[in-house]
Amino acid sequence: MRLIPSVAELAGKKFKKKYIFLPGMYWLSNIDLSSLKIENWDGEYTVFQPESGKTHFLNEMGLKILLILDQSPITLEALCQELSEYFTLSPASSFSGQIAKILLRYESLGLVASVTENT
Amino acid sequence: MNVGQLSPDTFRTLLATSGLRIKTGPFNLSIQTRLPHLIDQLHQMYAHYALMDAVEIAEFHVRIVAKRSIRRPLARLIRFEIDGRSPFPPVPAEQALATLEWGFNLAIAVRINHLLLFHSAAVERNGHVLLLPAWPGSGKTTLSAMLMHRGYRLFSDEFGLMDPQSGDFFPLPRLMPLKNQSIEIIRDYLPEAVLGPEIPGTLKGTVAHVRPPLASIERSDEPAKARWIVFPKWSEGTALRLEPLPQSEAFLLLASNAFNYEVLGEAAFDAVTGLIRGCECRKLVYSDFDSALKALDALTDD
Repeated sequence: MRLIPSVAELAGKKFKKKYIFLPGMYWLSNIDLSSLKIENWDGEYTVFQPESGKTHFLNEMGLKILLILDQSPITLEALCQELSEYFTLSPASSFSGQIAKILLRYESLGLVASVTENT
Repeated sequence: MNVGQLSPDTFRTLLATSGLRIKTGPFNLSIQTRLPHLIDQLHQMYAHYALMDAVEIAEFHVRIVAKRSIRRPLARLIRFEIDGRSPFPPVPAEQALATLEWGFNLAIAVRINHLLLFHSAAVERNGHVLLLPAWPGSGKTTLSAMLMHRGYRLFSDEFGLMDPQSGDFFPLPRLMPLKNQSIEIIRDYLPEAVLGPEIPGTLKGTVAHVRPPLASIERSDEPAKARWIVFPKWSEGTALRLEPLPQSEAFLLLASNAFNYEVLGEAAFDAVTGLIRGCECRKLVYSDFDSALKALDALTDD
């Protein structure tokens, strides 16, 4: 695999959408998850990221995404599948778009990175 | 010795020369001015503050000086200076007291980073602090002015000063700027309150300051830990509601309106986490003081 340009570095939403759905693109954790300070507030989480000094507010799905990506790189499609199974969600066409937005947000925060297969 | 025990001549001389050096909670402040009307106002409004010991160092040195303007030669203007710098443009001389108070607030907000500074009123009852965090315009100054005349000890109407290590809150009882219709509301509800002059035409409209009671200032070296966090909102004609607030929401609101949360980083995260875990969190919507007082008394009863 090789690193591709950061989605967050690309200007314009058109580019972001194009790269999100690029075949062979994987998402992975960009941080040592054990370095984060995570506080659970009845299913909502405050997460302190020492590297950036930032505090993030996540719901359960937001945290689950980080946990899944910490295991191994995963495509957007497989990530959505895993989340759907974990949270027993029925399929919805807008779901992958919502997860894609979260990934972009996480990338801009330095929490995750995207890579693509070097074929 | 308190400011009020100084003779008017001594008071005026100090302000005009080496500076009036007073204790305001955990901070020491030196003030210099020669403006006659400001000197008179300070003699009344600062009467309860203790003078600093001669060996103590003042963290803040402020001056209010007359300013001449070539463009407006007839205007009586003043300039606020802190350590020789002027963070504000000149304002009309009548606004000197309000500018002094806002300037000191600004200096605290910008310079103090050994304490976590919440944008919050804070009062104490039964040995514990009730935090009243709110955005500007939510009525926290008016509410805390009422509470401090009804058995609560004033910590501050503007800053919740928290030691991130110990969790202690420090009192900073200072003049409280009522704005616009709040002035008449407090005059009517609290005829015993000591108010300074009405100062029209400021950026926030007409302002009049409430002097903190002697009891609050005399105990300004007694910190306390917080036990309740109530986010108040005054809403005309609304029936009182005092409802539980999810802790996650309280964290978000408290951290996002702290002055130096990001500066303190992990220490602030740990401090806010510990604070929220140890407090009861509520949101309060009210339209009259009597019902708000009754609800807060019930919340803070032992």
